[in-house]
Amino acid sequence: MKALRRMLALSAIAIWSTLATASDLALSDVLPDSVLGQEAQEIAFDETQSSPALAVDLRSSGTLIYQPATGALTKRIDNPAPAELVVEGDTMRMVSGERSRTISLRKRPEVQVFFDSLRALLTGDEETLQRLFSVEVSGTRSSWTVQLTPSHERLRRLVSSLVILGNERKISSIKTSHGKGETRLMIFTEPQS
Amino acid sequence: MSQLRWVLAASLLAILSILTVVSIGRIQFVYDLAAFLPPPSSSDQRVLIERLGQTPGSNYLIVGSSNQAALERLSEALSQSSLFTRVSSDVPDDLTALQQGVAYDARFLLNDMDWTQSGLDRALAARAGELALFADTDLIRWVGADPALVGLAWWEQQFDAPDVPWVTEDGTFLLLAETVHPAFDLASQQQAVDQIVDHSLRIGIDDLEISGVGAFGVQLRQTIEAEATFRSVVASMALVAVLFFAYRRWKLVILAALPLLCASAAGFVVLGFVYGEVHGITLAFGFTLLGVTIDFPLHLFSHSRRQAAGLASRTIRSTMLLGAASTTVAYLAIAMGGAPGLGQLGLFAATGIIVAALTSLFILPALLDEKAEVARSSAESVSMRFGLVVVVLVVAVTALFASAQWNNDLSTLSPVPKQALERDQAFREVLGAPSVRYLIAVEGHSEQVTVEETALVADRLRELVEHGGLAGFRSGLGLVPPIAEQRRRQQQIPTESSLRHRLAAAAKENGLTAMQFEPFIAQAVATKSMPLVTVSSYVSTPLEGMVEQFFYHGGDDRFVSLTHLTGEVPADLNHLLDGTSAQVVDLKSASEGLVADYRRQLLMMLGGSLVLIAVLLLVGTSAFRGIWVLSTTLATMSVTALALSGLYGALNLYHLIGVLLIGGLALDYALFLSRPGTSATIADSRHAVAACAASTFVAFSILGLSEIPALQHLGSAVAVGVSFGFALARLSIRPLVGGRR
Repeated sequence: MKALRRMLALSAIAIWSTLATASDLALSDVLPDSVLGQEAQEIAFDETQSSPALAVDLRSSGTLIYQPATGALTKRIDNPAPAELVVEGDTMRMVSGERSRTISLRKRPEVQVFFDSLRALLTGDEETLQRLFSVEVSGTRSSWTVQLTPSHERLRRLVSSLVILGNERKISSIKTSHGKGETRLMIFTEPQS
Repeated sequence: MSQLRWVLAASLLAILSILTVVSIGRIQFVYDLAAFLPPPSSSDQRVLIERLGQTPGSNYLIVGSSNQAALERLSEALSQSSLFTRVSSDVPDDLTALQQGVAYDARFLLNDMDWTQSGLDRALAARAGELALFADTDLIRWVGADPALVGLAWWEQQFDAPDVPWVTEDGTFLLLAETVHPAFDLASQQQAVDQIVDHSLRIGIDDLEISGVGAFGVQLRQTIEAEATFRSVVASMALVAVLFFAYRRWKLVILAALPLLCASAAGFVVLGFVYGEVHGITLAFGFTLLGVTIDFPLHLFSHSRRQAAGLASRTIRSTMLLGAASTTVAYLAIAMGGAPGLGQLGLFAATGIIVAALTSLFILPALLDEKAEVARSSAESVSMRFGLVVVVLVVAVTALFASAQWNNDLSTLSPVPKQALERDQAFREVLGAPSVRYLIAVEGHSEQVTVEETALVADRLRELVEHGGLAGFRSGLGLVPPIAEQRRRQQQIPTESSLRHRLAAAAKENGLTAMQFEPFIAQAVATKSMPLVTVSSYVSTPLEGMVEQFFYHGGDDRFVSLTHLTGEVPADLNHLLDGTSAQVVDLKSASEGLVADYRRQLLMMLGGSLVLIAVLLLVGTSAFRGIWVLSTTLATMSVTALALSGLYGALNLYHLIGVLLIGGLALDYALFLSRPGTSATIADSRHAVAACAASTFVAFSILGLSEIPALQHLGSAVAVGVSFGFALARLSIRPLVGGRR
């Protein structure tokens, strides 16, 4: 089911982008420390999505969870209705209402790439990020903006750009723009560790 | 005078060529194997014949490569093509593409939907979560038209989308491309295969494998054409060499082809006027059976070595006509084998034989040089030894009845190499493609009756699956549900105002007030009064082929539905279907039964023709000679069959055709060798028969060395048979100098 797969892929990008960080001058200045603890990280967020097909914006809130031990990423929606997306290894599982689907990322190599880059990010692998995106960093250390534009055509089909705002090594929001005039703005409501 | 003859000959050839071209223009070549099968004797066999070439999964092209990422790119490229109904079981990339067509418009007739307040609440709650994960514009629009996603669920059910990649044990990743056109439409299959190959080259797949019925057909057409052309050219060259060695004159070598040319031209003309269409196999086998006609001019040439051709023609006339008439009787027996394809084959061969004999006797002599000198030689006769022939005949027939086995497996007729078939089978197991062995056929006098009965059967099968008695099944009920079910669904749809009211409440409850549900409301209202879905609703739509896998008109007010069963079938399944008109169809046993029936019928016809041939021989010659000729012919055929059965384990249809040709040849040899005459004519007959046997042996040995099963089996059958027939006839005959006739 491609629609859902694409949806999952885009959600994956959103998750990935929440964990990306940037700095005022160079990407390396905003990347988090390469060594993470074994503790799961949870980050609450509010999200606003707009689309030409929507009369007004769609609002939701939930939590992003990262498990360093297994590398599993979860996007959990609490409002307006419970839903969950978990990415672990090379599978992606989505639960919403009575529907539950597990999708192999091996069938979607471009999505796999995003998770590879996420791992690169978490381990401070700047090289991989530079390979996948053209990166622009602006602002100061206390208020920076990182703009990521996919260098590969296949990735650009999923997302046209990511604008990440933050201070120090913390992200405050991510705005993702897709084709067809869709945008989503994710604002983190509690400080990240 | 001589010039006049050549003008006449040239005019004759010209007329024949024109007639041939005209009839080939009229003839339509068909490749449906059903034309070669006899009328069905059971309902199993009827389903088999009616669905031949359209069995589930037969239009699958399975593409394999170890490069998974490249295969994904290939999948994307192919999904844009109009040649495939689906690629890799995926729902089309573009969701909007799904939002059109019969099945989408009728989604509330084809699926159950909970229209109550709580049902709509549940649906919107699930959508709210999904949209929060990601609100893709396509998805938003889809939800606006179908909040319970019943249309999407329907697609998933019909196309059984896999969530894990298909990969074989040896690490070959698979891609499934289902072609729009059936497997036997080789031109379309060629296009589809070409497209796959082109994309693969561009993407850089270097270990591409394409499997499937259509791919085999395309590949075979190429190999068979190349191989058959190559072998025919080599065989013809060898034939020319043998003929030149025998007669030492190029003119004779060229003229030897004339009767065969006339025979095939006449065959085409008759087929064109009688049938209008010709099966591909008719031509292949038909030309094989015409192989006997190459012998006719050789008899004339050998007998013209020492006398004028006209005289030689008169010398051999009765013998040749007797031989030709007997062979014609046998071939006409094939024509009455019961299948239109066999009718064509028999008619083509019989016409050809008669025309070739007449050409050799009445036209060829005019084209040969007059010999001034008439050979002088003493009257002579031959003695026929019965002992050897009878011993061989009795031993061979006994051994044949005791040991020979018939191969009833239709698939051995397939010229596809066994290895390729096994690979295809392995691929299909990975894909979980439908078993092509068991079906349940339901037959009714109307579509509605059949569909209702199918629903009854599906209920029982579902129960069986739940209890673990059956792996699974697929019916066409998702595409065409029973009328009563569709009416019930129509009635469950609430009024517009009530639907609006419930939707508004559910949207508010789930934070989806931003959503536009107008398309959903409009379709729901329209569904209440829309015409119900029937098989004809799908005509000329992309789903037509899929519907045809499950439903078809069997003619005479018969409407048939097929339910495909997966895996092994419980023995008491028929019992489970008691009280319904449903019947389990085992395609394998049906096809085996069909082949056995077919062979029995063919053998009976041949038996009948043997009696006729015996009568012909007794009338046309002495009883003694007639019996000897018949015994020698039968002994040769039996020994050939025995040898082939020993060589290949079991006899198949190709062998049977080969044995038939051998019958014609052996009869011809025996008749000529047993012909009384002068020492000169007897020597001429021996020369002729030796030339005939040598040329046939050389030509068919070359065909027998082919890797293609059809050519190999036919070639070896004839090469073995002709050597034996020649040896037996020669060994059991002895000249009697000055003896009585």
